[in-house]
Amino acid sequence: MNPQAVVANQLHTGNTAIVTFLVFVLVTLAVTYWAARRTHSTEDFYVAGRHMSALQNGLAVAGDFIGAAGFLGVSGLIALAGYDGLIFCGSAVAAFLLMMLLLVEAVRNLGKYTFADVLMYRLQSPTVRVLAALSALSLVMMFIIMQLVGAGSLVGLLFHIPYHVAVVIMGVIMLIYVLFGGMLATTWVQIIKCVLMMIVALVLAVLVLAASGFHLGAVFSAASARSGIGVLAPGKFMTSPLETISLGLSLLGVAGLPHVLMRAYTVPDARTARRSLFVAITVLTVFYLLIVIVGYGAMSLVGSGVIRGVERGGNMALPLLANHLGGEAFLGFVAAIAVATILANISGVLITGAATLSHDIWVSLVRHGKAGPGEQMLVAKIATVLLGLIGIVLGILFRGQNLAFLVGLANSVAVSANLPVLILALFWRRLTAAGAITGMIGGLGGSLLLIFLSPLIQVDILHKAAPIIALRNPGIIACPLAFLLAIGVSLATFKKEDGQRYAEIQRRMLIGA
Amino acid sequence: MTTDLGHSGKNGGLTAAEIDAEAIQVVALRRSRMAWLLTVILLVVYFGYLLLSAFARGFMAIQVMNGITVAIVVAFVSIVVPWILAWIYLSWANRHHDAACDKLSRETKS
Repeated sequence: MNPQAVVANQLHTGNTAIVTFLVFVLVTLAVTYWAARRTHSTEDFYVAGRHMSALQNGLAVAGDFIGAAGFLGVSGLIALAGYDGLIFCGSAVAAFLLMMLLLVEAVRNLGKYTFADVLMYRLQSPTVRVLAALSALSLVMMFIIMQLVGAGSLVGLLFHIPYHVAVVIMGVIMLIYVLFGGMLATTWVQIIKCVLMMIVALVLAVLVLAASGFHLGAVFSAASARSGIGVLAPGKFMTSPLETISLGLSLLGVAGLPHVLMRAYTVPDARTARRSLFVAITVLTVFYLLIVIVGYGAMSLVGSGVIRGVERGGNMALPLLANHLGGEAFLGFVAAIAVATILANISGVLITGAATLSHDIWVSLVRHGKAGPGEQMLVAKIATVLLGLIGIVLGILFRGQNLAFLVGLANSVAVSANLPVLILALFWRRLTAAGAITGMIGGLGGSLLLIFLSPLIQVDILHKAAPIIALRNPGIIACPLAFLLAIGVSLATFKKEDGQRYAEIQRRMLIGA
Repeated sequence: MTTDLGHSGKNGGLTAAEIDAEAIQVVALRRSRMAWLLTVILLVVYFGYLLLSAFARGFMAIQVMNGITVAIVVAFVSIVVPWILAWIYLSWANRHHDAACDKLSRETKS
């Protein structure tokens, strides 16, 4: 999001936006107060006492995914590029199905608070826990920075507040949610936001359909009449086939994101975790079908020229469409929801960072599990404040920076550092600690190196004429590399005793502890 | 479901732990077959959609009816198919897998 590209005062969000946002903040702070009174143990703080229902957790999981990028970014891409923006819709649903089929039940049954627990239990290696924690923390920081930088620009654009003030306000509200209300508050904030976003998407899609006489084909023909028939077929965004496949693969990495996996621990058992993912997949399927209509609606009713004029990345397509269809009041409402979604998402990510730092690093590695409940809670809260403040400072420092490399890096790390080793740990008897360590280092290091050599760093940041490797999404190299390293090293280091433990793992994956 | 691995008696030479281990193997194998079958279908549909988008542009641009191209149909299919697969897995697991796990946990914990 680039604030310089904004035409001044194109968006009058008015009082509705401020009132809606204040109501959201007040309601969620009341929820936080309620949650704080029910948060006593570390289990309450990290995973809401494992009391969430399938519906509640499902809405929160879906909410985790449809952040500002899924809401404003994807609808904007469709409004500008047409068909090429749709890749993000199918991939979201596919990634969560992958998580449901392969990971969630076993992750729920093998771990306690974090996915590092799962690898630790399977492989009994503190080094694996450190690496899993490092990859989780790096993803947490990347997500917080990306979202806060986006929030700073978005709030500036919609509410005309200076960038650093916006970042500090967002950061402080995030800290209040997590610090006092823990996972229970964070989950409810996410649920409220998810329902609001579904309502906005539904209302917009119905209004777009109404403008086309409730004929779906007419929505697409109107869009192609205004922007050319090319918008209904693969186009310029998908020019490199290898890049398209690699992006598609990288987007499946969502299945292994630590903050989404952590939600599996907020429900009572593996069955509820499975049901909650079905709820999440249903919500995402409906949401993205609506967003396709909304995106093409924005293209035909607002026009890509106008959208690009307000913000060149297309992020304002959905607010502009709301303005066109429902006037300033509806625009204000949508704008407030868009800001609220960032708050909800950074809170969910922050609590995962805090759990990783306190549970995986401090309690398990430094104190060898011998920390009392009071100490655990204190460390968790210190970790929350620490990560929150680092996020706010970096969010301010990264102002106006091109963060596309962070998006590419986060995607690549997710699909190559966590997912391959997690899948092998659950399904392959012969995986050894040495294999997992090599695979994770290969995935993490490979992603860093490949992003450094890619156009995102070489051309965009270092201003070289040509990149060393043309891929902007290195998942297609890094993910197979991690699999190959983990498998190769495991085969070389496998001993018969390692295999015997797998029988107990299998039992526990099915019926829990 | 129809195996007699959970019942001792006929399995003369095996210890209780070995019988348990085999019963666990059977349930684990059945679940992972189902999960991987659906995963393979998902990956075929998903990467099929990406490959069509990347390599079959002419085909994807064909108009099926007014305003709807092959590409739009393929995109909708790629969004809806994962949901159908999720529903298949959920109903299979709720109906068969949970019962098998309940049986396992009764037998192996006693």
